Amino acid sequence: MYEAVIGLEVHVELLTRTKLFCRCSTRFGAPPNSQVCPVCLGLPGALPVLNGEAVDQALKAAAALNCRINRISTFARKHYFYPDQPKGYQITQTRPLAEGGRVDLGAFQVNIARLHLEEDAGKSIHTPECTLVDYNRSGIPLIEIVTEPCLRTPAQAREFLEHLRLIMEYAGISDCKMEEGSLRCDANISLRGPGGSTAVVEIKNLNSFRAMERALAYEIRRQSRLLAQGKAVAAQTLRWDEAANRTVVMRSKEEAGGYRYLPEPDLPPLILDEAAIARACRLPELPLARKARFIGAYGLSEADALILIGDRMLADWFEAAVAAGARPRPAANWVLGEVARLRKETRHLPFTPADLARLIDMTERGAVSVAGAKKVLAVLAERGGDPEQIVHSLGLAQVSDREQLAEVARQAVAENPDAVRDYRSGKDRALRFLLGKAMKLSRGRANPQLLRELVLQAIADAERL
Amino acid sequence: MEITQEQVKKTAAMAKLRLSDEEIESLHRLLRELVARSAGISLPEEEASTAEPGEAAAAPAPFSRPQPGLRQEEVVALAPAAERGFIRVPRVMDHE
Repeated sequence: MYEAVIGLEVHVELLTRTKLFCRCSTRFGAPPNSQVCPVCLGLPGALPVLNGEAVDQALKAAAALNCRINRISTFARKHYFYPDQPKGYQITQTRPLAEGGRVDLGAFQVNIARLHLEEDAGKSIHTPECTLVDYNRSGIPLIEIVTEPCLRTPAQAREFLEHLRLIMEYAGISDCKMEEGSLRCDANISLRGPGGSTAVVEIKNLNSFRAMERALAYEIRRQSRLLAQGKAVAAQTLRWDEAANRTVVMRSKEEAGGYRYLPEPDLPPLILDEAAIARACRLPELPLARKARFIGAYGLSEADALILIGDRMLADWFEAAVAAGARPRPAANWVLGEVARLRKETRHLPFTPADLARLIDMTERGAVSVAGAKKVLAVLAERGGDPEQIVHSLGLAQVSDREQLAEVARQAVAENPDAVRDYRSGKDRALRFLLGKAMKLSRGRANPQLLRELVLQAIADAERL
Repeated sequence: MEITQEQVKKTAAMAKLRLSDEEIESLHRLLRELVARSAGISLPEEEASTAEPGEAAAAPAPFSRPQPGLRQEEVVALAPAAERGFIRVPRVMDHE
């Protein structure tokens, strides 16, 4: 029986206004090659200057991952030849900014080997005829986070990466948009058994959580099969082919020596003072602390709290609705249900958490039914507005007038004698049918609790007649 | 550190260069000379180990606002070929 040994190398683009070594903008989506200068194009004579904002962000990431921050770190040139690398080398760090961190996920812990600053490469678009290169991304500040090979399953790797994304988002270090490449992951995997370990295989450019999990699961199956056949696993660099659902060989795995690391002569060592390190350690509330607070302060279930913190926008919405007066549990239900669904459909929500709090209050006062409130929310999502006014304009104000609803209940009972007979003979479903008929007669506006009471009363009265 | 002809060939392969035997021989000689001359130079990394804050280190620049660099037309003019604002190069997708 073999055990998987998995380590991740995660690249996170830092949220900075300018690139790592020059003043070019980092804005995503600009026309190709419109945010470049002699420094990030590697033109002769250009000299890099380290961006302090990137250092601060990297230090914050190191603190959030419980790393030991090195007071002195150094830059180096990592040489490789590829069109997306205009200088012929990437500026990275050999003595890293931070080492020895950990992320505690409850069921397991992930140890962080190192965290260092480096510059991103340009973006290549491969067509059947040629490769097109855009250098706007060249020089964007990255941190590379390298874990120890301490993960044992693809599911663990996914859970860690998802949590890492949350930490980066919560700390304001990166927007971690995998679809825009601001969070990228490579995975190293080998199998360990009684006879020793297989060679380490690297899977590059895993651009979604699902792709990472599936690629690792595939590799475990492939390597297990090779071992069962008595064959060796070659040390290779692979990529995941999503369409073919398999890994594909890119090249034989490069050794560190192949990159011919040289100290970067144009950048002196980065020497940090205690004040800079202390500043980095002032972190905002991180995801697990927020989850604990949601459970402790608001009485949410572990499951609801976990889903809420997993989507920062929804978690912020929930807290804002509670701050506007909504009770926490109904607020969580509405945010996780209707608000999450509407956001998926419309992407932009033209109503506020305060609007939601007012709507929840109206349902709790019996001024509108839950079904009616969902219709109001749909209108709010479409065009915004005042919840009370929408309730009135749509005629959704809930009817709680006893006399009015008693008449509706009597009519529903009188018009459906078969259902009344079925209910009396013990069929509970017949009562739901009668309640449905009565609700329809009230045009969906009846207070459901009161209507149920009055329908049961009408059945009893009909029996006495 | 001794530089071998095999190392020259490997480096050339990584740089996607096809070299003749004469070129390998010539580069081998040059690289051996370069390495021999640089052997006595101390590396910044060694210096850094004894450095104090403020010594031998540039303070990171407090960049605030992006500044315009080169215009797209200036960038593509530097390249041998371009297409729709991109630099066009021979297809380099890794082999499978």
